[in-house]
Amino acid sequence: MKRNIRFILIFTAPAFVIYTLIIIYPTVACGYFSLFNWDAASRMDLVWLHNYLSLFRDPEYRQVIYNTAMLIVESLAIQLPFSALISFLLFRTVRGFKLFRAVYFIPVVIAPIAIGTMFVIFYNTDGPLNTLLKVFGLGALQQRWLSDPKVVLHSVIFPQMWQYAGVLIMILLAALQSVPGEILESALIDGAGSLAIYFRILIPMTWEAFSICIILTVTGSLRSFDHPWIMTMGGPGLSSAYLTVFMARTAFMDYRYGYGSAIGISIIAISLLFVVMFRKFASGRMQA
Amino acid sequence: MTRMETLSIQRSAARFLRYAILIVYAVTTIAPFVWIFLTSLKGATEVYVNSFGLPRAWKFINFSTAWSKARVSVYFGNSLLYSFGSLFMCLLFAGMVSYVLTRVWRNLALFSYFMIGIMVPIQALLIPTFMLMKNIGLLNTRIGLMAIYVAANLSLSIFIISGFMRGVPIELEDAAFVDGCSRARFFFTIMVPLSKGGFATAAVLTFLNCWNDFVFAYIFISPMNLKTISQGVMILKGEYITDFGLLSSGLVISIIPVFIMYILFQEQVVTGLTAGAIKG
Repeated sequence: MKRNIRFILIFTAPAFVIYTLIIIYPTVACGYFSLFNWDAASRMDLVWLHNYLSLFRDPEYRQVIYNTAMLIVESLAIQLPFSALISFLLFRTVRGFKLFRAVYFIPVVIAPIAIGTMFVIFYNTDGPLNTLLKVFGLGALQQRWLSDPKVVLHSVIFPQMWQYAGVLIMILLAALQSVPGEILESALIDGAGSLAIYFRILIPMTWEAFSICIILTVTGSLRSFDHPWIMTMGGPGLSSAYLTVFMARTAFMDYRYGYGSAIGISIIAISLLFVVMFRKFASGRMQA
Repeated sequence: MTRMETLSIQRSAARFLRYAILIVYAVTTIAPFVWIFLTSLKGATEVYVNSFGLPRAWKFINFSTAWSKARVSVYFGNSLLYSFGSLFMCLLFAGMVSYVLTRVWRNLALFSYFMIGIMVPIQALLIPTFMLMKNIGLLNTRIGLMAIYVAANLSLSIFIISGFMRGVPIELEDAAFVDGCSRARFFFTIMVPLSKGGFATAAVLTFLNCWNDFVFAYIFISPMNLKTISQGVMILKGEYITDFGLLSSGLVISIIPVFIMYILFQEQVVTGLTAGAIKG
């Protein structure tokens, strides 16, 4: 027994130490820092929950909440249905199945930085996208994609939706493939059309996969940083900044580490809150 | 027309439409990468006049300029070091803990402790980890960044590897002990090879996360000679924004390792990324 304990300690220690030091301790520390006004150079002023009160009243915070919410909403309204469509079509396709599947996943593995930079070139005011619009006679639709505050948020949201659609497609496809064949066969025998099959049978049976996609989309959006940072650094102003971007700018550019930590805690809180509430909602639904 | 004929025309039309949509989407998925590759062979501002055509002259020199003059080789080498180094340490530590958690001391509390990391968005910890590294003196060091990468990937790696280890028959272990094999030897010589799949998946995922990381390298590494390829891309964008050909070639260089890895390990990549997604 004694030798066992020594073994357990030796084999668990490295992971435990690194993990506790770099993940657990900073989570606690983040909460601690958020109670202070701190510019890292001089003194730390304990202000208790004042930072959080300020957050509620801060129009900049509201703006980045709105931006992040927009990312979530557009992803759920556009990326998810589109991925569902593709996964369904792919499900029914035999020839080229593996190839399509492999291709659709490619953007997922590429660095968000690379995707973002590609789109920076693409969105250039005198560049490919605007040129393409002109060629198709849609010249009136040209924009200053990354500098016009009215469109920049959507310009930044699109590459992210495009890049990660592949993950949703994979998940939904796997779920479709796990539906027992007999159910589909009996439905077909009963004369059900494709649409009916999809909406009345497949979607309910793959609901769990859909909830995974929703959770992924929301938590992924709350973490998103690379895309806006490389494309616009959240600008102009904060028009394309998400919560994480705002947090980084507040801490590392405005030197307000306490306030920034509060933003960080709010991100963690929103994330956890959403997952817990959604899981409750989803499991209630499934039992119904 | 008979009803049969109408039906079969409808079916053909539906099939045509289905393939059309799938193919168009596949093209829009690949097109940007093909386009970036073509752009990397063009002149500095050729992308303005000749956005979508083939390059007028295939300027492979863009790649060598990016590699040497723009120091992409330095960034690339750093990324290789950080990615493989972190990957090795992460797999080793995660494997060791997974073995304990699945075979020696199946403590649910400890397992859940390690799973917290999957739920916490690591970007939110940017500020406190920055402060921590600064105070320890590991800011702007290779070890510091690699420690972060290891920590960030531990939870998911443990999750994946322990999943695979649970599938290894317990009788093997009993038999090994009867023969006088020590636990440690069992781990290294039997357990690890048998849960190769888990290690491979975790390896691929960790490599991806490290290679593609931007925000941590950006915040934690300032000296030019320590920067990663992601930072390199951002630097290229800043310094050479007028030379899209050069910028694109740097981009292509940064993408190639991931692309190769995807082709070689597609199975592991997809399994890993979707497994991580499902858990988180």
